[in-house]
Amino acid sequence: MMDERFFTQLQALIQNVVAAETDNLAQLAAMVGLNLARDFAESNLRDTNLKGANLVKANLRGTDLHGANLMKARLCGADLRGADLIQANLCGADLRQANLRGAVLSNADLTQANLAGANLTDANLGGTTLNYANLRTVDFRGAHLYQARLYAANLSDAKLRGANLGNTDLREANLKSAYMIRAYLGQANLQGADLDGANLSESDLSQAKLNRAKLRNTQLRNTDFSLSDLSQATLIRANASHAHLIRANLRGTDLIRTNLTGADLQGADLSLADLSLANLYLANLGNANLIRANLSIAELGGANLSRANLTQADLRGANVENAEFASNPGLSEEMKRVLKRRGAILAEVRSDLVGVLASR
Amino acid sequence: MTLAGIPVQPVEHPDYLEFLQPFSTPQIDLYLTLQFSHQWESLPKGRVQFGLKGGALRLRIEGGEIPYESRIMGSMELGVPTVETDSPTNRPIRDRTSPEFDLPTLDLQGNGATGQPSLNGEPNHYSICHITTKVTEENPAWIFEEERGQPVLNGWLNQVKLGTLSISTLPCRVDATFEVSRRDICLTHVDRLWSPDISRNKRAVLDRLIIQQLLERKFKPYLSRVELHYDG
Repeated sequence: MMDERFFTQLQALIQNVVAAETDNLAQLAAMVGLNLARDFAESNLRDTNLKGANLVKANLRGTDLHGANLMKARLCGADLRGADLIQANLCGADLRQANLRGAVLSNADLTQANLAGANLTDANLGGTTLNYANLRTVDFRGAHLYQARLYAANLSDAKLRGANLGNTDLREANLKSAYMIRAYLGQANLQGADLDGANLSESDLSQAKLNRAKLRNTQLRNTDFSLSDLSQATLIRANASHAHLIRANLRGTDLIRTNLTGADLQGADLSLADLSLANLYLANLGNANLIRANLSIAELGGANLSRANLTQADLRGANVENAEFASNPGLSEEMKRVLKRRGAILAEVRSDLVGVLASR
Repeated sequence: MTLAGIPVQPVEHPDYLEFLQPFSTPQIDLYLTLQFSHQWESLPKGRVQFGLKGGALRLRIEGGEIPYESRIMGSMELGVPTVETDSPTNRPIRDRTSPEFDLPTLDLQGNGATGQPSLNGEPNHYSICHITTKVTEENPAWIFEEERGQPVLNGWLNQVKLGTLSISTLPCRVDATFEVSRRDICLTHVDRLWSPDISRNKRAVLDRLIIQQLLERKFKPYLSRVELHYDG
């Protein structure tokens, strides 16, 4: 039973806080025997000022920190599972190894925050600002990052399997060796991003902007790049077998030694692209623009090149055995004879068969 | 909180389906009545009002189970009580219960609550309560949460069908507890303890202090408890 003494003591504690000269939350908590790092899990800290607070390994599980100012706060190793951090200011915060599983960080500002090694599985980061943030080795599996701003962020070795990165700003981001199988990156902006050694197999990058991006040695099996812009990108030695590159912009793209086996490049713009030593076995290049493309020593066995524009394309040393050519602008009669001699199948496409060939 | 059970009557089949036996195990529909309201708590120089944002109803069942597919889920509008707001134990619930059941009704305000329900004079903002079931727990559990962004839940859930209990062995026993965690408690008004323009940091510490010292202990280990027995 709570006696009169208890109520008097509680009243005195309340008075101490009300009359305190400090507004430092940790100090105020200590005045009433509370520990900010230990006693505020599941509490309401909405809109509080915790700028620069020492919250190393703090238990803030399920805490409401909506709109809180946590600028440069030290939250290394903190437990923030399920916390509400919507619109919180976490600029420059130290969140290394923090557990943010299932936390909601929509529209929060984490510019230059350090989240290396943090757990953000199933977290909601829709519209969150993470420009220049250190996100090395962060676990983002199942996280929602739609429309997040990740300009120049370091996501090297991050786990992004199945993450929703649609419409994100990843310009100049470092995604080296990131694990992004089955991630959604539709309409994302990855201009100048470094994806060397990343695994993007079965990911959706349709309509994404990837111009000047680095994709060397990247795993791109079955990846969807339909209508994406890969102009001036570097895909040297990337494995893009069975990738979907329908009507993609690959103008001036570096595809040296790239594995494009069975890839669908229908209607793609490969003008000025360097495909030397590339493997295009059974690839579909129907209606592709290959003006001044370098296909020297490329593997084109069984590929479909019907109606591809081959004006000034370099096919020296390319294997064209069983490759299909038909109605190709820029292909001279002499070149046709050479290709036929090297095992290519040459046929004129009748207008009523164009659709059939184009849909291969 | 009250929990009532009504045995499900076997469906009568037409003569030509006589060979079909009604379900071999008895089934009981469980109906829940729950009131959420504000309460004042007095201190020497003032008082605080609090309410609940939600809570968890947990059922421990012996001799039966509630199939997942029969469990209630979704959003429900809480009714605003029209009767005088004394204890919910006054609600006429027992007339809907089966005579086989022992149905103690318990005060939602919990054991030892010193405050009075304060719906009188409060604006009747009805709440929308979102109910989800937890599949990760061994026993059936329902989570109640305020859905419309109001600070707390206010109003009644009146005899809402919770699910259908399939009895496997007799006697069957259902132990229901309504549990409240720290995050479910919200101070809604403060009277004479501090000025309204107090800093946000001070307010956060005071909220935490009052909830920990004054309120949390009221709700441990549970806020309300009901037991049902079925002997056949």
